[in-house]
Amino acid sequence: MNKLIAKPMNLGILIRIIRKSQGLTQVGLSEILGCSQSSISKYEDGILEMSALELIRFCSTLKVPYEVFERCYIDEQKAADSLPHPSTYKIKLPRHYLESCYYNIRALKPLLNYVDVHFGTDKLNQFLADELSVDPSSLFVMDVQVNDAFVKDLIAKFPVNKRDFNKYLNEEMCSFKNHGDLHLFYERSSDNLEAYKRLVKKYSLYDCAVEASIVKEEDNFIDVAFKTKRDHYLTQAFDDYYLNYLQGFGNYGNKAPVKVKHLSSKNSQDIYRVSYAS
Amino acid sequence: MSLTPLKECEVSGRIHSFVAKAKNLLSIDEKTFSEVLDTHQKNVADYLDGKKILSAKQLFSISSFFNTPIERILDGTVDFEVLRKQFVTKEYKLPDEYLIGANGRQRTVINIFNYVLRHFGERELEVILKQFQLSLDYFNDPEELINNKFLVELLDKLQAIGYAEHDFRNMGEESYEVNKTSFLAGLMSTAVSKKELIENVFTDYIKYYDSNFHYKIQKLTDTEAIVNFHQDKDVAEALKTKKLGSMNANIMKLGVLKSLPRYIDETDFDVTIPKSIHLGDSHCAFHISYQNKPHI
Repeated sequence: MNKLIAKPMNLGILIRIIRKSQGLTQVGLSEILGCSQSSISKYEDGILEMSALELIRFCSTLKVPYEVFERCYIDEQKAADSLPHPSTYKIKLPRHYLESCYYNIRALKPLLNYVDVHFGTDKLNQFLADELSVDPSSLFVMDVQVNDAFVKDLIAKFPVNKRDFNKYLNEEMCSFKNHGDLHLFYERSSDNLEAYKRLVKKYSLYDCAVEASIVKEEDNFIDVAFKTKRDHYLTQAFDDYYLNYLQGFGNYGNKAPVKVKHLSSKNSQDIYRVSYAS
Repeated sequence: MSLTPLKECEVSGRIHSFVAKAKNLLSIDEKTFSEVLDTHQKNVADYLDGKKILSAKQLFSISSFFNTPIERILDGTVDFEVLRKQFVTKEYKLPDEYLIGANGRQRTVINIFNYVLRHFGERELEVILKQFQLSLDYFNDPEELINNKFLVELLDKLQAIGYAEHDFRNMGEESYEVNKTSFLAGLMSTAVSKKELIENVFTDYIKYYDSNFHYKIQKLTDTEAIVNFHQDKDVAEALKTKKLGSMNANIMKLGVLKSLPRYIDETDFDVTIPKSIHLGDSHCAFHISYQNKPHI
């Protein structure tokens, strides 16, 4: 078990603020807690530590919820105890992560989950905080934007085994874990091929680094073109990404599965054929 | 009311009893626990035996480490089974009390967590979730089911620690920021007017928002709408409550409603709650007013 332990901050200052807000003198509080006035003075100045029982008596008598103290704690390993609005997250990143932010966290969730599962949450969080200056908690907000360089550094730090990753991705997509409303594509579709057509139309909502379009449509298949704006190194790193991403969609739910085949690759554009498996 | 000496003895006993039980249950070794107490390993036994007095900081550390609120430690209501699953088997299934009559999605509470994160930080959210002996690990999938009881208790808890009406309204409003790229947002964006948006939301899309209540448009004109909503009797019965939801929850819904026109790039609705079962009325209602302009 490797859990961060909250360390108290400004306990004495809070004691003083609460005491004064309730109109109590140090002598008055010392009578309540059953200690000397000088002890109260030392608690408030942080010279002496209040005992657990004195704290319980303090909170019980003055009707103060314990959270009042806890909310003023910070984890020592974290730089800040409050987060700005998502629109300002980018300023917390180094400059080279600021340009061309194609990804929102939603699109990166499978990759982050993979790293989380295979390398451990603590390592991931420490890397994000120490080396990328990214507050790990910001990854909880799906609309936080990051760019290719962020992904590149992530992969460099955590060497992603392509085969494992694609297997993981496929399973992840099948279960639709963390994919919010994507299942609605299927609920509204008679089969998975139709679901694909809906997906392609809305693809930019999930990955704005890619332009997706249907270039050919027949009764039993569609050809989908994905044109990426990603840097070359990422295209290389994820040359099976779309195939598995798409295949994962094809296996979702109880409807007839579809198979996905890579047809061609030219000028940052890949074409895949999505057809009925049978 | 201060604690009597006898009570202090009981309180002290409960802290030590909790620590001993939790430490054994989760197989916490002396070294780890010495880090929790921020003391040398050789002192741990003295703390456990009561020979050394725990400091306030150590009590907070224990509470934080075991993800258990101090109140529950003191009144002896710690759910050790939840603790075991959380720490030992890493099972993050919500306790049954939040799954009975589960007719809502986690999306709503995740929106609340996002609000807390954005405005007050991660530590704040951890402290709040700790009150329920839960963590974010329980809230990975917005589509997972959760009952209305959790939402009500969560908002009540937030109110108890100082969150005000404007926070609940803003939580609803800011859900737009989280949902604006969702498929549902895509559907809503097809409405050509505010009037049509209301019609679509309360006929087709409301099931994705809230299945704990039955919504019905009583009035819909070019400038105003009245939407009544009644609680689902089966859900209320399952949760053994006469009044499902709460005023805080209604205010949060008001915020969601207010911000709906943002999906069609229009100005917000003006929304009030003229009726509420929580104010003694037979049902709840929203009054929505707006300037209806075609959406281009």
